[in-house]
Amino acid sequence: MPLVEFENLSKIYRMGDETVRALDGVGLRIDPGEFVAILGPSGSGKSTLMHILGFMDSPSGGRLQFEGNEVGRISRAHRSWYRANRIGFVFQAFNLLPRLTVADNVVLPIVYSRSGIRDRNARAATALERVGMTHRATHIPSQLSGGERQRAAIARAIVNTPSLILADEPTGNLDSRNVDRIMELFTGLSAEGQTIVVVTHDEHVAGFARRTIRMCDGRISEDTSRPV
Amino acid sequence: MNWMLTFYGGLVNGLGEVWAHKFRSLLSMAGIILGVAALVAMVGVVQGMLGEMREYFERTGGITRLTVETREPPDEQAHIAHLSPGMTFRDVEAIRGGSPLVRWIDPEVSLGWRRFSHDGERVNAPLRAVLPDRREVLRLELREGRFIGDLDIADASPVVVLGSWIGDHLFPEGNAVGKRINIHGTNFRIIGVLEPMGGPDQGGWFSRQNRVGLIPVTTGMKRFSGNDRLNSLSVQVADVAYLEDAIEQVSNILMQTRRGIRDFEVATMEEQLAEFRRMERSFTFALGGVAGISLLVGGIGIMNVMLAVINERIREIGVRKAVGARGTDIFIQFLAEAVVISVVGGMIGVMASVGLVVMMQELVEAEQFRIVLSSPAMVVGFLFSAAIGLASGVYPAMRAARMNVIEALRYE
Ligand SMILES: Nc1ncnc2c1ncn2[C@@H]1O[C@H](COP(=O)(O)OP(=O)(O)O)[C@@H](O)[C@H]1O
Ligand SMILES: [Mg+2]
Repeated sequence: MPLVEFENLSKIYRMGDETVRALDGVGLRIDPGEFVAILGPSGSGKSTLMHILGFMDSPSGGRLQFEGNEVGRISRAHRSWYRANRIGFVFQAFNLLPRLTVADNVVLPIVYSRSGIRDRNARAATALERVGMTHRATHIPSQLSGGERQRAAIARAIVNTPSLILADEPTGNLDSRNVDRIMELFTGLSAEGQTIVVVTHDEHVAGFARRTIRMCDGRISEDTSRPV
Repeated sequence: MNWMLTFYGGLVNGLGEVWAHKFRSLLSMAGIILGVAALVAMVGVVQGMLGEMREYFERTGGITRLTVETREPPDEQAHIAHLSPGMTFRDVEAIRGGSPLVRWIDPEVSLGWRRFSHDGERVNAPLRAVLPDRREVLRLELREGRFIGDLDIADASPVVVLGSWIGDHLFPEGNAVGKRINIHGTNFRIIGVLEPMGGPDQGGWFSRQNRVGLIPVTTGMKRFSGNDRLNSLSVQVADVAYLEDAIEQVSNILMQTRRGIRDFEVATMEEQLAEFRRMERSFTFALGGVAGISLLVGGIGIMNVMLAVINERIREIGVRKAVGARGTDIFIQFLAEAVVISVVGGMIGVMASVGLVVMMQELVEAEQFRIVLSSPAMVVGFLFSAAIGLASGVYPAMRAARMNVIEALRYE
């Protein structure tokens, strides 16, 4: 069974009498364990697709299945549930809460998934250990470097063992040394069977993934996989 | 259950936010703080006043007391009005002789402020000429010596009972009984000193009663006023059940002493009681209004701050939603924060009110009126502030809850 499968997916923004087709009939299938990179010029619809896959937005048309369930039009509450329990989102701007410690930031998805009240700290510690951030657990984000912040954000994304990690330009704010560290981290997670989709416009970053999808004007223009 | 956990988390988080922005939080609480402090202080003033009135009322016989008041005689008697001797000591003797329903008779000849001097020390205080019944009516206690007795009345003896205030000033070491004291040129023998009336926190009427000299009514008439006119006359009835009968009895007797001229009225305390209740009610409404308005203003302040806070934290809302927070989680979080602001404000308000009341107690002399620290008012003010916080947090929290995730995340 595919993890995500969609057909003829579209997203239309209306601004006055002008309509923008951010997604214009895309279809795709992602299986469990895949490591996918989405490439494409700015404005080609990458983020829009990620938002829909991440249950932060709903499509204007088309069919969308997640773990075998039709999820194109589900309630806001359901979407929150998927965000808390099935998706780990990594942002370009890290999006850590500035006044919380790293550990408290990592705990947030557990809090909102309403699971494991008792072992939440242990789970957060495990996630931090996985990204090599145990020694920074009690720091606040402003005390960390960019690479460390993104590792903390990845810990937050994996803490609820999601079925899909979505990263929208996760290396966009990092220097080249940290780009490689973060991508090696994703590669490691992928090797453990984690499904990952990374959006980038950097060919070097895309090179870490097995499968590369290119987008242009809201459509998929190329879908290639390199052999194992 | 889950929402309670979320609310609790929100409270902890809210405390952190309040602490992180101490000055702004204090400003946003200002309305609530002032509202609660003003409420408690005002209740203190009004309760002090009303409480004292109630105590005075009870202390002076309550509804078993009848006062003889002077009135204009009716028109048809106007031409013979001068035949009535007015309120005199003869009224007292007639009531005593003729009204078995009356238990105590309390006439007074007020002799104004007089100089009391002893051994070169002098103080000024009101001098009043009264009957031994005064002791029963006001339930006066003696610190030393005895009260005015029937023999003192019969002999019009030059004896005086001093209020505790005069006793303290002229005889700080005590042992005043038997000593001579000069009252406005006349020598008196001290037969007793009164216990102070009321507790230390009781001001007004009660503490004024401590600064007084009491002499036999006959002595007052003979040595000072020179006639038998009374300034006031009241009686206390043995049993409320016979109040109406007693009024009739006293009226009939007075019709005789006043030679048939109706220049008096025997009044009950009913009217004063009704007046007292009216006052109590209007004070309550006025207080409620003022407190309500100030807390409303406090609530508007909190709402304003919460809207600003939410505007500042749009990105945080986006992040929380992105990692799985539902609208209700966000709603509860910001509601809890509003409650934290108002509850902390309410607590500071209660503390400020204690300071305010103590300060007012210091400033206002106990003799003018007293101010009490009302703990029910503190509780009500505190609960009210919490409720206001809850109410004023709803709208901002709703706005936060409805925010779109992507737009919130994109917000700079
Ligand atoms: N909220 C929105 N309202 C209007 N247009 C939007 C909105 N979000 C995205 N778009 C438009 O949709 C297109 C795709 O945007 P996006 O998915 O962010 O592209 P990418 O991430 O590939 O740079 C762009 O033309 C963008 O301007
Ligand atoms: Mg983008």
